[in-house]
Amino acid sequence: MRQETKRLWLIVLGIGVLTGLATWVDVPGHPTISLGSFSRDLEFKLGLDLQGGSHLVYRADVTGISEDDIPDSLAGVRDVIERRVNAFGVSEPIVQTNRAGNEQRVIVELAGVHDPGMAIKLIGETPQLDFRREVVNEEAMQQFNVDDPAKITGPVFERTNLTGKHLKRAAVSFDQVLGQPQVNLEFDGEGSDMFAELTRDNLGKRIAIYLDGVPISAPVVQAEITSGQAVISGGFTLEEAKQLSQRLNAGALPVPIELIGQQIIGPSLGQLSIKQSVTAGVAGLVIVMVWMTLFYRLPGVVASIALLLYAILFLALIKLIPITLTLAGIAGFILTVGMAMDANVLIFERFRENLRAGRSVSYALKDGFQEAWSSIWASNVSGLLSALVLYSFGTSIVRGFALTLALGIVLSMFTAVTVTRVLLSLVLAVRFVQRPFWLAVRSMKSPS
Amino acid sequence: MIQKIKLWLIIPLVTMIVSIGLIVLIRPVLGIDFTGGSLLEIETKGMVPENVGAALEQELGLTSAVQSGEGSRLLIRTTALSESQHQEVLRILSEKDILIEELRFESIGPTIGAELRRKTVMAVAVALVILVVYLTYTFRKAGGLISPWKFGVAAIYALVHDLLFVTAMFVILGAWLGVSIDTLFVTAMLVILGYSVNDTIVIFNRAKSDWLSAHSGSLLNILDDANKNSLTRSLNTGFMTLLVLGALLLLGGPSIRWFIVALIAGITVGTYSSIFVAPPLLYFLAKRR
Repeated sequence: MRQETKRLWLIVLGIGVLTGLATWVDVPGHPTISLGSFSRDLEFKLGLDLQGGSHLVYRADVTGISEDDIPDSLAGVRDVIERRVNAFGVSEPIVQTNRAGNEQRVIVELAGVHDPGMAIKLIGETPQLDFRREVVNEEAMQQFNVDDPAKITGPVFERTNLTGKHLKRAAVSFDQVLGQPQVNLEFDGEGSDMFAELTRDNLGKRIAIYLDGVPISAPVVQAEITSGQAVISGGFTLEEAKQLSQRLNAGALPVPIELIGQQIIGPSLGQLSIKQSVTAGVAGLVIVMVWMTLFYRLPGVVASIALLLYAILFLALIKLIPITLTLAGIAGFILTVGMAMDANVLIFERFRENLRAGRSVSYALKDGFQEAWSSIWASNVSGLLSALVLYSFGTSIVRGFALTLALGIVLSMFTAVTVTRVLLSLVLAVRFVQRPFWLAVRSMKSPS
Repeated sequence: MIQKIKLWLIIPLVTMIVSIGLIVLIRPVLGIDFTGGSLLEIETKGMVPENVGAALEQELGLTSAVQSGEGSRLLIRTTALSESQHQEVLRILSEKDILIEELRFESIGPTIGAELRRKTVMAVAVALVILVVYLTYTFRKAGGLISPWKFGVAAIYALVHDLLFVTAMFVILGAWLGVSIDTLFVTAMLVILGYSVNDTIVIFNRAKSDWLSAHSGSLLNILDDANKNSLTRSLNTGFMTLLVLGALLLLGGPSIRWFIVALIAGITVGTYSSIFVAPPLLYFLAKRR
């Protein structure tokens, strides 16, 4: 028995240390912690529905791109959008790509951005730069299926493979003759080769530079250019030239995108929700603890301690993993609080039944845990299975729910079963409390 | 408690038929996340909803459904707006001296809505199948009493009963107060799913262990005793969950109000169904060989 008590105290010590650490993590205002390669700032990550912000869904137009290249193009789109929103000064933007049926989507979440007009402009108006070659008339005739070549007025341009993708960098310079602002382009290796080839094949003809499908300049090729340098002189103002070069440097989108959905949650709504939800959550926990204590007396106090521990550990894990808190996530948390309490209620009911049947406290406790265990296990496993299915099939809101549910179930098995068991075993070993009043039963066998 | 077995087989059946009838006849108000469309919530200088709708109709030719929200807030629902249309609406609202602040704007294209519907239905359907399989496995040892799969079917029956009840209730709320069935409602249904199954498992498990230890008595008595023996637990757990939800309803923000209402209804009906819906059906299934 001595040995057993010693073991229990050791576990209590372990739980105490764990609680201490978790509490430290929970208290706001910590700097970033780092352990070796692991580094985490200890702030709550709030979902857009709690924090306010913009959720934008884009459809990427991948027509004409081979199946194999689609993931690369999308990754390119993601990187470019990331750079653009970073330039916009949004902290921790989330840019994700996902596939929905046949559609390729890019989802952009900008926390704290309540006026997404600017952001949408910045993301959507990303320049698409491409170079086109002039087509001689017979070719043009074939291509556009026009019978009379005389009807084709002006030069006709055809897309080439050279696009903004092949750009290394862009810079503003000034025309040496007129002093007009212009944009210098420098191609990467592949781009330089393509540009050299393009200029070689089109000597004396024009090469048009298209921005977002609109020609902005179409100089005549005087010589083959192998340096990988080109100039856009489109009669820009200095401001326009600067903006264009900045945007080109951030990268052109490999494929066009189209805004198909947006959600904007205003700041007051967001803040209101989180503040109220936290107050409500704390109030709910306190009421439950009071009820447990009134109903089950001493075991109720122990269950309340376990519940408190559950809340502390849950918050710490949310911060550490980190899991983004959303309203759906909070819903998952509520359900797990219910399940954690349920585990204790099941155990205590069995415990009381055993006491009423005249069994000794230690036997009633041991047996109570054992009998309640199969119910607790079955409910928790079915909960975990549901969470797993919902996570794999669900949309983001369902996933947030599933994740907190799964985390809560695993954690509550620890607090509501292990912690309660250890604490109760220690507390109920004291002779003084082995009385009907403390254990909330009308009659029981007196301690022997 | 369920000795009047016929009564307890008929009442849930009637509840479900009435619920389905209500859902089909009244038709739910689906949120824009499922149908596609735009939702604009604004803080106004105390405007009559009809006037705002008329202003938008007149200036932009835009058909909208405008509804009063919390205080001087307005909810404007339209077909899916593009960003430029959205800006137009805001411009008109400021010009008309209606707008104080834009609180929320959601615009969801019809494809996203359809996809969300499909995915949600899929997730729930797969979850139900897996639960039946798992319950069959868990109750495999109760073979001497009832074939194991019947436990799963009875639990899912009670669950469907609960989900139909809450959905019917929200269909009525939708017709009456314009409450819509949106993703948050679906989340509430998921919570109810978890809770209801959990509750039923506890009672079935009690019946199983009582049967295994006693190995005698009529099935109806065993189920009834399981209900009685688990009653304190059922009520206590249900009551405590309702306490937490009550706190959230009173103190939580308006944005989660209907969500909490759905949960309260679901937990209540879930507690009821685990006692009065699932065990009677299990009995019915067991008697039919």
